[in-house]
Order: sequence, then C-alpha cells, then structure tokens
Amino acid sequence: MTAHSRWLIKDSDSTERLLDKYRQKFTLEPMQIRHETLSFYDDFEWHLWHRKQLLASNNKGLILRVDDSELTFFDGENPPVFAKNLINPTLKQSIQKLTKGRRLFPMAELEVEFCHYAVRNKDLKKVCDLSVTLTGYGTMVELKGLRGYDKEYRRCLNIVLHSKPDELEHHIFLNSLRLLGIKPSSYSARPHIALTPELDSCDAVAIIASTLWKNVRCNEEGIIRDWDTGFLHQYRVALRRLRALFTQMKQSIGRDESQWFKRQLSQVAQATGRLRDLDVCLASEDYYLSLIPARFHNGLEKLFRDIACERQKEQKNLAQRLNSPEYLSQIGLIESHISLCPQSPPRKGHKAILKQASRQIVSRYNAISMDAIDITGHSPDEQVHDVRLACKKLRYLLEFFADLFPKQEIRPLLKALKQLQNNLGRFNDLCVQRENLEIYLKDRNASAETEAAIHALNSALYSKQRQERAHIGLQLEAFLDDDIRRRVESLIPAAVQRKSKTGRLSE
Amino acid sequence: MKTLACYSIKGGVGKTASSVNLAYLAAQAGYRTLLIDLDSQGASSFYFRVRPSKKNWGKRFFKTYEQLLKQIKASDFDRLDIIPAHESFRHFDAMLSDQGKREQRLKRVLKGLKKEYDLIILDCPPTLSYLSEAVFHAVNMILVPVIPTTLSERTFEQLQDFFHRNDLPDRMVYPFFSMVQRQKHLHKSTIERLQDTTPRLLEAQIPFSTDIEKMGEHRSPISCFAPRSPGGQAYEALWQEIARKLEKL
Ligand SMILES: Nc1ncnc2c1ncn2[C@@H]1O[C@H](COP(=O)(O)OP(=O)(O)OP(=O)(O)O)[C@@H](O)[C@H]1O
Ligand SMILES: [Mg+2]
Repeated sequence: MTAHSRWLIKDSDSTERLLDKYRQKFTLEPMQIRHETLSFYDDFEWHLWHRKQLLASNNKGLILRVDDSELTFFDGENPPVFAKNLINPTLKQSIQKLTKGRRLFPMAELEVEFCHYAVRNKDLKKVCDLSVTLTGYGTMVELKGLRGYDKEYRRCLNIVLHSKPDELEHHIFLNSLRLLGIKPSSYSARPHIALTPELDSCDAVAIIASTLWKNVRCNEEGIIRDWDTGFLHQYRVALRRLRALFTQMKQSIGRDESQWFKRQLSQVAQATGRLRDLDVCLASEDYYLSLIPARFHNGLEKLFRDIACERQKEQKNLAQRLNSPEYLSQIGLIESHISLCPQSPPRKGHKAILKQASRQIVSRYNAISMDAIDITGHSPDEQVHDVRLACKKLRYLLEFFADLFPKQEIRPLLKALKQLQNNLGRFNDLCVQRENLEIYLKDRNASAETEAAIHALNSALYSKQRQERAHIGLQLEAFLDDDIRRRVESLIPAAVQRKSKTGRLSE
Repeated sequence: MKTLACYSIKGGVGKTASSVNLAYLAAQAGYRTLLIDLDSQGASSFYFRVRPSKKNWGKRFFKTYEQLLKQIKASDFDRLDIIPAHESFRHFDAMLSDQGKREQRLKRVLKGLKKEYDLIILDCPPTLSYLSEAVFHAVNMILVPVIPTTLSERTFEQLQDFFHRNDLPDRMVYPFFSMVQRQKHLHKSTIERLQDTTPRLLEAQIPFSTDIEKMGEHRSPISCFAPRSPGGQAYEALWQEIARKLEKL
C-alpha cells in the first residue's frame, strides 16, 4: 500500500553524490551498515533460479532470501543443505516446495554492503526508508514510503530521479550474479526436444535418445556421492524413457537395434531397483506413522531403522558398481551405439516423424480403450496394472513428441492423462508398498512388535488402495471420453487421415 | 481486533506515558497496533514526533472510518501507526452532544479498522464527558493509572460510581499503580490498603522514574531508549500482564 521503488546506479561516485543530496534536504541517519560475503545456493535443477528466487547465507547464521525482488533476512539459520533443515517455518515450507526436497549446493559468491538509512524531517521523524545495496556490480537504491508521508516520499523520489538512474526489474543480486557470468546448468529432468515434423523418424529417435542418455550420465555422480535421492530417481526415469522409446519406435530403427538397446538398458536399470524401493519406503516414514495408532509406532520405527541400515549398504554397493570397470565399459558401449544410431533403419524409418509418431499415439490410445472396456469395479488388479502400463507408454510418447503438435491440442490431453495416471500411480504404489512389507516379514525374523506394526500398516494401506481403486472407473471413463478421443485423432495430419478410412490406425 | 483505553479522570497520572509505551511494546510483540491520540494536547503524538494534518478534520472524526484512515501516520517502528491529535479534538464533547446514539459513535468508526489492526490503543484526555462515555462503549479494556495517594484513590472511586450509575460493566476496568515512590510512607500504605480490596488491580506497578520523565527529551518510548531501566522493565511487565488478559478476552 505504501509507495516503494528501486533503482540501479552503476558507479559508486554517483551513489555518494546522491547521499549528499539527501543530507542537504533531510537528516540522514544510518540505521544499519553491514558488510557480508554471501554464498548463493541452488539445487541440481536450479529450481530457485528458474523461478527468479535466490537463497544465500553469510555462513554465520544469516540466511537471505530474494523472492523475485523482495529481500528477507532470517537469523539463526545454518548454511542450507536441505530445505527441511531450515528453521523458519515459512521459509522452510516455500523452499521445500520450490526445490522439491533436493539438496542445495553453493553456486556463487558475492561481496555485499547493505546500508540502511532513515530519512528524517525537521522533527527528526522518519519519513522514508532508504536502502543502498552495493555488490561491486552496481548499486541498488531502494525507497520505501511511510504511511501518511506521501509528500516526503515524492521529494525523496525526485532526488533519486535527478541522478538519472536505470530501472531495475529484479533484485540487484540477480543482476550481479548474471554479470558475474552465473548461468543455470542446461540439465532438465524433462528436457525439451526440438524436432521438425518432416524429420526422418529414425533420426528423430536418435535425437531423443541422445538427449535422454545425457540425463542418465548427468545423474551418476549424485548417485555415487549420495547427494540426494533425486539423482537415482531421475537416472532411472531417463533409462525407463529410453527403453520406452526404443520399444515403441522399433519400426523406425529396426527390431534388432531396438532389442539390443532394450536388453542393455534393462540390465543397467536392474541394479538400481532395490535402492530406489528403499528410498521410497524411507521417504514415507512420517506418512506411515500417521496411518497407524501410536502403540504400533515403536515397532514401525524399528523397521525403519533396519531399512535405513540396509539402504546405506545398498547405496555403497551401487556406488561401487557405478565406479566399476564393468559398468564403465557397458556404458561406453551403449554410448557408442547411441551415437551410431540408427545403424540400419528399415523403410519406415525414413517416413516423417510426425506421421509415425501420431500413428503410434493413436494406436496406443486405442489399445488403452480396448483394455479399459473390460475393467469393472471387480476386475482383478492385474488388469488395472496393464492399463497403467499402457498409459505410461502413451505418456512417454506424448512427451517425446509434444513439440510436433499444436500446444492447445496436446495440453488438455496430457492433463487428462496425468489425472488418470496419478490415480493409477497411487493405486500401484500402494500395491508395491504392501508387497514390500510382506517380503520384509518373510525374509527376516521381525520382532513381534514390528510384525504387529506391519500388519496394522498393511491393513491401513489396503483400505487406501481400495479407495483409489474405487476412483479408477470414473477416471478411465473421463479419459476415454469423446472429446479426448477427437483430440487424439486430430493429431494425425490431415493428409494421412484421408488414406485410412476407419480412423482406427492400429498397427 | 482488541481495543484498550488509557483513562483517568485525573490529569498527569501517566495515561500518555502508558499509552505510548504499551503501543510500542505491543507492536514489538507482533500486534499490528494503532495508537489514537484523543487528547487535543497531542502529547502522545509529540512523543512519536508525529504532527497532525493542518486540516481541521476533527469535525469528521465520528463520520466514517475512511476519515480516520486518511489521517493515519506510520511511526518510526514496524507495525505501529498513529492518528495524531488535532487541536479541533477539543470540540469532541460539543460535537457528540447533538448526535444521536453518541455513546456508540466511536465504537462504530473503530470497527472499520479491524482488518488492518490487531490492537487499538486510545490515549484519553482527563475528563468525564460524552467522549469518555463513547470510549467506555468502544473498548475491551480500560486501563486506569492510579498514583497511590488519597486524592488519586478518590478519583478512581468516582470513576467506579460513574460506571455503576450508568449501568456500565466495570469488569473491563483495570487499575494499576503509577508513579510509585516506595520510599514515601503514603504511597506504601495506600498500596497495602488497596492491594487486597481493589478488584482487577494489575500486579505490575510503574515506579516514579527520571527515565520515564526523560521520554520528553528523547521523544520516544522508554522501552526503546532504555528498555533495561526500572521504568522500562516495569512497562514490559505491565504489557505482559495486559497481553495475557487480551488473549483471553
Ligand atoms: N512513572 C513516571 N515517573 C516519572 N514521571 C512520569 C511518570 N509517568 C509520567 N511521568 C511524567 O509525568 C507527566 C504526566 O505524565 P503523562 O503525560 O503520562 O500523564 P497523563 O495522565 O497523560 O497526563 P494528562 O492528563 O495531562 O494527559 C509527564 O511529564 C511525564 O513525563
Ligand atoms: Mg495525556
């Protein structure tokens, strides 16, 4: 409500002159002058930077947060590692959400001087706040008006404007880091893949494959160093997408090559499954505890201590494996195959990708429709899982080729699919979690206490699972609705549509 | 939003000193606070270095809350705003005398501020008048500084009589001792006599202190320039006691 503005002054001489002008018209009282060396933090995916957010620490108990252009100080905070360790609840919550729980790394340093002045009138009443922030890359002058002192604010503003400052769109820290040459890494969990519609489909597959492969490799170090569990997760996601790509687009690169990749990628992924399961399980500890009565908590906590131990061992094993000559040579082999891909594309490989991809998408959608017809409230869980897998395949296709289609067609489709998948995914997660708990009981001599806790938890999870199951029918119906079907079919270019009379283009 | 008034029929007992310090401490404690200086002398406004607008706006005071909003000034401290007194506030009684429902007028305009503030503190002039009646109807708590002397005791009794005669609920009246000089026999004996017999007497006592007197030189609350002094500590204790009561209201 009160007036507020910020300006950029490039050289420090004009800053001094500016302060002198204030001294002529007002009394300028320095309220706080501090010099700080700030380390700026972000996660592997640069979530904060991409949202125009900054998080910095002076490594002496102070954290600073810039939210677009608003700067806030938080005392009594250690340099951040994970958002969950932050003390201030608002800060913690919002950083946790932004970084999705990922580890924070220092990414840049700045020397900063903050000077805060109270601008006072003849009564020595404060009429305006003046902050001057120097970073060595420029000076930010900030004016904040006080309620009931508009006239004085305007006078203060005129003094700044007189020195012909530049407008400052973001906080000076953001400008300074840019000038310092800080840039976010090009890594993205969902890399954008630029394809042109006329590209040979085999070449398109190769482009997508090499993009996804980079994501596999980028995450290795984080897994080995155990920085956070996101690295393994994204590593596995990239492998899974690659596998899906080669399987679903086998007509484009040929059956043999597709088979080869599938086998290799499965082998690489296989060694990581156990650790991922344990990570997922450990992450649900609080949730699990909330599902069962307090008298079972001891038993469950014991189980989690065990699982945490096993996880440590499993992590060491995997780290060793990723450093082993066997792994490195396998990776090297895959890498050369990817750069040589496509080695001997079949005829269909030279068809335009738009045509191939859209046919594939429609046929996937139809396959889901077929599977879904028989699903009732009582159908066996296996059938639901089949639909889930089919949906996943469709999702990958839509994501690989999103660029080829008009956004307004793809977006609603992805949204509807995502809703269905969330539902199916939760249902599946609950199945897997229950199975894992059963396996744990069988494999180990769990104490009576732990056994009781697992039984209690299992029945709580079971009822959740049934709840999810109950929604599936409606979700499927929504997804197979005429509007969505029309959108899917509209993805096929008009020229191709005319040739096929039925509109059903399954292979 | 809670509203409290510092009030006494007697002048010079520490109403303004209390309003100023309590407002400061409340804002420090996180309450979005508005101090309204109802005394045309403008002493509270002076302590916060806030000057009133030049316009003669007193005649619009009881019209709508938007009129009040226009007059709000930020203090030098976070969360603390002030409506400074204007000379024209002298005529409040005359203004209220020919208005219907005059005892509800203040309550009604203050209601409009409840989105913006958690606490309103009224610094009142030492009169028993239409204005004070309107104050009694508008607030949750009336703080009455009492100097432990016979004379002060008498004026406190007058206030209680007034409440009974006018069917006002005296459960919102909270007296406390102000400008206490323990070494004075009269102060000591008055305190001892009243301590057990006065309902809702607050425990905290404000001592007579030269630091509090110096607020005029500093033009700021004692809790700001000498928080550790006996006077500063006493106001802190008084605020804590009041805050507990406010929470329960
Ligand atoms: N505890 C105290 N110790 C010493 N001096 C005090 C104390 N409290 C207030 N004073 C001084 O006594 C004088 C009157 O105090 P204050 O203005 O707070 O009383 P008041 O009740 O608001 O007076 P008025 O009725 O004139 O508005 C002021 O000069 C003030 O500095
Ligand atoms: Mg006064």
